[in-house]
Amino acid sequence: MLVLHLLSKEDMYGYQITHTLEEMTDGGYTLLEGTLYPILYKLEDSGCITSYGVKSGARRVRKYYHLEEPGIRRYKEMLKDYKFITDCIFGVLSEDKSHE
Amino acid sequence: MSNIEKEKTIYLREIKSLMLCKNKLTKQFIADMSESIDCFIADNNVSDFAEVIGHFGSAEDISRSFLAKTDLAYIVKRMKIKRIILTCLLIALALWGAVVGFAAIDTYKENRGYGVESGAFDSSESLYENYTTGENVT
Repeated sequence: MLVLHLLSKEDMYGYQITHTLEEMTDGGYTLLEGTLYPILYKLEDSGCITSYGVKSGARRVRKYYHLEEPGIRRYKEMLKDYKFITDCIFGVLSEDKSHE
Repeated sequence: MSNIEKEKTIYLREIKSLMLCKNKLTKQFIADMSESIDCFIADNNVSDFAEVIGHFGSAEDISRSFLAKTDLAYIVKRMKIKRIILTCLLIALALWGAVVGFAAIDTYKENRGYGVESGAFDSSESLYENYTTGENVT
């Protein structure tokens, strides 16, 4: 969901995604490349995102990921589910607090 | 090739060797990892490769997280396909070996005179004819 969220803002390349997440959470959340790339491959397979290469430097080609329409739909669904779950959890926790 | 480049190659080779199966996905992953390492080196002016390992984790950590996130069914499927292809290749190799073997035996027999049809005459018939006519057989 976080990856989809970042890609909804702008097209990004792999390292940029992990770096941005790290910066946004002040180093609190680190997404390992070994975790990120399989997620990106699955999203690409399901048509949620697409990738394109941009030349950077003499020989290097940077692979950017772009969020597609199915990805936007999936992101919205995930966000809805996440809000529902967190609301439920907060509901339970706040009930516990009221008993205290 | 600089020292960092050499160490990067060794690091990526180590990650690759820890993958359960070598396929398109792992190749793609190694290429993406290489790109990420290059970005990190360029962004942070890295002079010691230990900084790269410190940021990305050890080769074991990377391969473990990759395998944990990769669909196990997909890996098993790829390994099965690999096994099927290997079996087919072995069968084809055995068949080819058999064909070449038989061809070699045939050639050997022909060279030694086995199985060569002379077509000269039926010796038994000729001998009988010679016997009945009373001609000298020798």
